[in-house]
Amino acid sequence: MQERPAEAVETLPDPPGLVRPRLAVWVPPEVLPVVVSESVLVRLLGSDHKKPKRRRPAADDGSGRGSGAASRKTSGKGTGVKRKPPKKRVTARRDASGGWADASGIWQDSGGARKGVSSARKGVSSTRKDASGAGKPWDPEEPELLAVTPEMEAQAQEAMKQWKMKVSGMRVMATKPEKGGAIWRIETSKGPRSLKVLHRPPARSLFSIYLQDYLVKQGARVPRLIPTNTGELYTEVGGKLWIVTDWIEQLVPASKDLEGAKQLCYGLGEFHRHSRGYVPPPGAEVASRLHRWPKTYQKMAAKMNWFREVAKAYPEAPASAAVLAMVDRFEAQAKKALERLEASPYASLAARGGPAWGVVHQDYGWSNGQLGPGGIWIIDLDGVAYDLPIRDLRKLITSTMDDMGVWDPEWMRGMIEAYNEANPIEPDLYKVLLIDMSLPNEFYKHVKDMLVDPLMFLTPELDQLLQRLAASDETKWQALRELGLDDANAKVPGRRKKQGRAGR
Amino acid sequence: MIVTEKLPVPPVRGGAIQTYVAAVAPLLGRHVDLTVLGVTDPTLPEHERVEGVEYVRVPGGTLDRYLEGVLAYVRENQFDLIHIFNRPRLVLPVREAAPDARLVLSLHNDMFEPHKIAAEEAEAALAQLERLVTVSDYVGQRVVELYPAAAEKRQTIYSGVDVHQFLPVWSPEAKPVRLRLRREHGLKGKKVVLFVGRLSPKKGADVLVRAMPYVARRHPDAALVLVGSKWYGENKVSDYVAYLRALAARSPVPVVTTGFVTPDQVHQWFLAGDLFVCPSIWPEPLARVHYEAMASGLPIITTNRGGNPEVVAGHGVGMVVEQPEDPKAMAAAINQVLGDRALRAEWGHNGRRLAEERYQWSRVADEIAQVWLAQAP
Repeated sequence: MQERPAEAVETLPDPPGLVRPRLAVWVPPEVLPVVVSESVLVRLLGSDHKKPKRRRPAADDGSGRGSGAASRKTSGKGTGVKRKPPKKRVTARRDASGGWADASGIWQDSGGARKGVSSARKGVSSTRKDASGAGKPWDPEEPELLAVTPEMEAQAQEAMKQWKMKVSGMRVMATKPEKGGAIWRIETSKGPRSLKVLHRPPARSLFSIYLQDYLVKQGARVPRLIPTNTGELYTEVGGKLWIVTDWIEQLVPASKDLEGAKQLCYGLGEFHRHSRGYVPPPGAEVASRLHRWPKTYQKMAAKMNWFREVAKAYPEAPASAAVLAMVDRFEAQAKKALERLEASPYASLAARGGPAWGVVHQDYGWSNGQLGPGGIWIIDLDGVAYDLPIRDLRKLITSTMDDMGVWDPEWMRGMIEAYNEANPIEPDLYKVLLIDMSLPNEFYKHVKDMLVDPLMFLTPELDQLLQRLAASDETKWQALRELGLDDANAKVPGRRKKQGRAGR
Repeated sequence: MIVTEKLPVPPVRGGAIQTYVAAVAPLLGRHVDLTVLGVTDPTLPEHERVEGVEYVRVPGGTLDRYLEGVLAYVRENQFDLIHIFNRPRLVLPVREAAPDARLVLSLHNDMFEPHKIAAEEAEAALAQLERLVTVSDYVGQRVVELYPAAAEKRQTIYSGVDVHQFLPVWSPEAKPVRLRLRREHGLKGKKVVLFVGRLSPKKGADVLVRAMPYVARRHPDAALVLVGSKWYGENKVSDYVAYLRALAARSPVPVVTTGFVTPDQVHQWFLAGDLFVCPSIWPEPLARVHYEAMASGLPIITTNRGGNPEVVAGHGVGMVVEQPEDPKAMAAAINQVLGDRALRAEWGHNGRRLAEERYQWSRVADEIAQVWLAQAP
């Protein structure tokens, strides 16, 4: 193939009928909104850009969730389908996968240059938006953010030479500018495809790439990797691995009701089941969170004290009082969860090893699991790691409940049942699922950012959010007890009678 | 000498073990035909001879990958003695590749913990060793607790410091550096408490920051300097670093954070200090910053965790805090030292003297040489 200069590839308008689920207005519950700093927008869009509204994680969005939560509480018993997680207005999504939990950015002004960040993007990199790993700005209002550096553009051109295909156009669909990851939709002589540069170190990326290949061979609905000219599953350019897959045209998000949630759960169960037995080839870094649970719990408990100390140091911040009023309770919950975990069958389950369990996706939800030919298709596999599979399920359930503002046992049962149909949950694993839900995941998620900039995050909105959280926490414990937390004989929902239908 | 799969020697990317090996290898190379086998690095050749020492570098990153190159090299070459650093899991494969070599293992961390090596392999590896060298009694005792049979093989060799690089704060060469750093960072006339290390929860920098309000009551002219970053060469703001920063911003006394400082510059920061504190709250093997602080002539406060007290308690160079998690206990110790100029001077001078007498790399190399030249059992 002839080498083409970068500019020779024009940016295409949306092809007719293209579904752009990534840009959907509704953002799934596992996705946190992140503040885009004004200075970044000014730098990127010019100073005449109108001031962005400050966006708070799950701030009251006018959907009536705040005051309506309590009244809705009574509405859905048995007919949970009516209840929907609220729509959100969010500009940037936050990748919940493992390696992204930590913030990044620079320490004051003495920071060094970062890899993969061009000078044009330096401004971006020092903000919390990117700092939180929220490198995927999906907001159609700010399409300018969806650009890659000329350097990466050139690397993309270089990488694409490794595949037998004529590329007539490409468009950036998602970027992680801080980490140096990006996804393009490319129009090729072989049909629409996806070109992706994986931001992780090559050895780590190999784990994900070979998993994806394994899954396809197992019959899972994940995009097929297109082999290169030399039959490889990837190519390496610029110290990163690049892959090309089919672009699955027909994907549509599942509905945001219980039926949709069940479909997602069923698809998740299938994914986990298909991933069992996976062993990465030599040279791949084994990504595993299987044995890390106690550490994760400990860390969460430890960070509760950080929240306390910071709130104490910023007494004038509007949400400090709420944090201080609640942190004892949630710290105790985290410690109790750790006790429960240690007394649980967790260790013996984990001891079975990664291949016995398969992998978790780590960033699964309404965006990375979508309806397509044959059922739920799962995309964006780069964060996969060995783990107890129910961790993905736990995240999906708890973030959905958190979004609803009420923990509804019917929903939770429905989701677990649907998952259980595709990938049966043994009683010991079910116990661990409930324990993982008992962690104060929601409080942690909502207040975590206060560490980065206390005055900016300890706002009246956070205060309101915490008041709602405190109320929903009451319903959480009721729901968890109903589902069998601390009950040695807890039954896995739906094991006895198959209800069918969900997921299909 | 076989170093680890993670970082290259010389320590172009940092690393305590790498620093250690780079310091002693040239000294040992005078007496024996020495090869240092380590991991490749883009900035270093795969093979070179420097100061009489062969450096051979094979691909690493993961232990499995590293093992391939290591074993291939060991098979192709003859060695009388192989000294492995901090990787008990290399012992058995290396033994297989070199059935007749004498094997020595140096431990810089608790690498024999059950989650790091299976008991069966650990016992077999220990059986193959002629000697187990540890950086502190603590590290050695921990192995013996797990595997009593290791007792007769283990020996502590304390690490060292370059006393020509780390100069005492009162030396003529040091003074301009001290004055410059203090001027540049608003520390003129302050009593500077110094932390040098990675910014991670177990290193306890947050306890220091939280101690400062209590210190400020007694010493309003105190200041805290935190030298280091979350990880070598990076200035990423982890949650922990963010937490530190949030607390530091509200500190009643100045808290200066330097971010990452390269190993060849870090000695300068010691010169800015009046008191060195190692606030570790984890069982640390024995942090080399203690030697560096001694060489810099700084009084030391450390914690009763791991091997750290071994070079402080009873040596007249500093004091040991018994409750490292408690900011008040930390503050009490700091207040005591900051309030006693004579004590600081005494501890500082003792530290420098000890560094010169006991903690030079030449002494470390001598002790390793004695292990190597010992009569084979």
